[in-house]
Amino acid sequence: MPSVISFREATKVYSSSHLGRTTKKIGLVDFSLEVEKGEAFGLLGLNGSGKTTTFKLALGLLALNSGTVKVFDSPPSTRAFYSRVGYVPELPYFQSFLTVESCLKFYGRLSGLSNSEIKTNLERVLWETGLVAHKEKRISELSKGLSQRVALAQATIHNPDLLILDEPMSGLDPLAIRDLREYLFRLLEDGKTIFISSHSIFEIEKLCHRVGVLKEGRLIRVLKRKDWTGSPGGLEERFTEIVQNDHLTGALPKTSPR
Amino acid sequence: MKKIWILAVDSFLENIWNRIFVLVAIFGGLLIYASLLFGVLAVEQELRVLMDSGLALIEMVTLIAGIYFSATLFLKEIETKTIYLVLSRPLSRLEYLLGRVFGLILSLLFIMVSMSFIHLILLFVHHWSWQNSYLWALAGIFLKALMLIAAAVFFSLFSTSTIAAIVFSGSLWILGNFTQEIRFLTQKESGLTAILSRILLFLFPHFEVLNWRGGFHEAKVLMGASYAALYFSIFLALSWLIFRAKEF
Amino acid sequence: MRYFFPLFLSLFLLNGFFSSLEPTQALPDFSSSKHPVEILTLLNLGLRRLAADIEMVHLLIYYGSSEAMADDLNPPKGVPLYPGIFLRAKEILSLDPSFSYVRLYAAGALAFNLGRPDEALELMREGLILEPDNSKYKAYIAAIAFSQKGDERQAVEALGPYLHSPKTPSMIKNVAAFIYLRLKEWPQAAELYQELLNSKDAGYRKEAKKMLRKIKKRRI
Repeated sequence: MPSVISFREATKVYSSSHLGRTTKKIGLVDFSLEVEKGEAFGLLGLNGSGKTTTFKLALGLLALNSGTVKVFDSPPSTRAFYSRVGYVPELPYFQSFLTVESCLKFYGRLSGLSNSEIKTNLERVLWETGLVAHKEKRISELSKGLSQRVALAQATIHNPDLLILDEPMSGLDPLAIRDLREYLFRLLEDGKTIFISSHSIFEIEKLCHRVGVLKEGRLIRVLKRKDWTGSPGGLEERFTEIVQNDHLTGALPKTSPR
Repeated sequence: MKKIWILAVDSFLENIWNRIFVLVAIFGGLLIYASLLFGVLAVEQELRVLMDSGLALIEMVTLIAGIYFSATLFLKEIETKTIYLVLSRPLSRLEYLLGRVFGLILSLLFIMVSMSFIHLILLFVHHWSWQNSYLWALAGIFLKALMLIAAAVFFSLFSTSTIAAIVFSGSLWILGNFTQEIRFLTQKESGLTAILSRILLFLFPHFEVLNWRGGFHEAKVLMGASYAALYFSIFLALSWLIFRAKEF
Repeated sequence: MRYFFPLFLSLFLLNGFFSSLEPTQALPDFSSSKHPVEILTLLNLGLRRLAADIEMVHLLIYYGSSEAMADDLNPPKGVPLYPGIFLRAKEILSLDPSFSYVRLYAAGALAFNLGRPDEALELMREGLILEPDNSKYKAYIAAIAFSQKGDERQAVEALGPYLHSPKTPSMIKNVAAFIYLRLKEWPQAAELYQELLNSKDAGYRKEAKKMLRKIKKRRI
């Protein structure tokens, strides 16, 4: 299967200087991964393990120190693929004065949609994300769950081929999580690729074809569905086992950063 | 260009919704009070005082609003991560920067037009007859604002601190009003004072070239407009250099 | 990052070039001001004209108010009435040298009301240095000079057509009207009082009404 996202020995080290002292913190180390077309790939890891860093590197919000990253065979710097990507960041925030409808139109226009395309796509995403009844409401009036739906709607309004979702279920109630899961399944059926992270191992287990386990910036294991479906404790047990048994430390890479 | 315009309108609407109406309402109230007070006290110079106080308030509100909006715009977007949702779209960082800056400019124009409208009503009520010098005075204020917002955007991106950006831009505003006197010092003084004064003339902007309240003088207007345009462009270019390499 | 230095250099050179095109101006002298902090704040914000306007209002309050400071109405021996007028006018004119109303008002008050023609002439001469072609200033200087010699008729005639200009301070018109009354030139006095009926100063309007009634009945 062709790969949609490709990381090759990617390393990202965060540097900060204060009063002459420089501190370095590992983001990712020698990270290699291929996300295939049409699959749902989950990233699991403890807090600070590098999940968000991975997404930001794919989107060009961060720059690599060494290694390469390509999305649809193009590096983020060329900006060639952005109309084919939809992104939901962790804890998304929108301008509070906008209504749901005007917010989605704004992002639709920025994605290059024409007025007629926006009209058609807007109706679709409002229906698919359950926001039809709320389209006239201001963002400031929305609950956390509805805001998360808006986040998903803005990521899908331009019908992207790839969705990058950073903790999309964070703060949602069980019914909202179920609706979101069903929506993601429909997107997979339409041939979309999903690259997702979540602390909800249960949801990742249901949705994903493969799962990568991150620890202290390193991809320590990639599991396929068959690796956890047979196991009594499921993905949670496999994840816990992998993370606890891994002995690699958080040392900086030997290869010199860019 | 289309995406720059989309971002500009979005920025403008956000500012309108949040703050501008409050500023305009406060200004309107201040102006009415000032005109009543000055009308009584200034007696025969009522019109002059009303004109000067109105233009002064327009200038102060525009520049304060410009510095504040510029210093907070990008840092707020970075802090709230709204920038992620825009930069993950098919538009360049330059388009994003230009879009937001033009949105700021639209907001300042709106402030100026609204306040001028209130001011002109008061002037006409006091039997003032239209003079083109009024428009030139406003044009000078607008160009001064452009220079300061470009500087404020640069300082906010460079220092990543709103307070620092406001302080640096505010300092440029104040020091830019003293350059004529600094020039006087370079001519009257000698030694270290003269040398330091000369260095300061290279560091600070020169807002007197944008003082067009005396009306239209072709050479002065061309000179001032060129200066403002170049100053604005250089600071915008510096801002882009920082912004294009910024990580989020 | 390699573009930073050339851009900053361009900025400095731009400032340097345009500083050479700016006129030079000495720091205004507001050492005699009762409100130096106010003035300095306005100067910091580039609001010189407004600073001049506010000081002008203070000057009008100082000279025009019957509640003027006790020291000024009852000065010690050797100190003139309203000693602060000259320095206050100089301060306003250092803020805005083109503020001709203040120049004429203060010079008129000094020359025709307070008997201090030398200070009045200094103000007018400074005005002529800035505007050598200003014939109004020349007329005022001539009027002050005639007034110094005690020739009131020549003094008011020297002001010529400027006396009837709407921009001439009401105080000057009032002084001239009073001189015409002393010279028993009733029509000229009445013409000036008629103009003063349109003055923005309520005090002068009231005075003009009263004097016109008296002229009509010739009870002067």
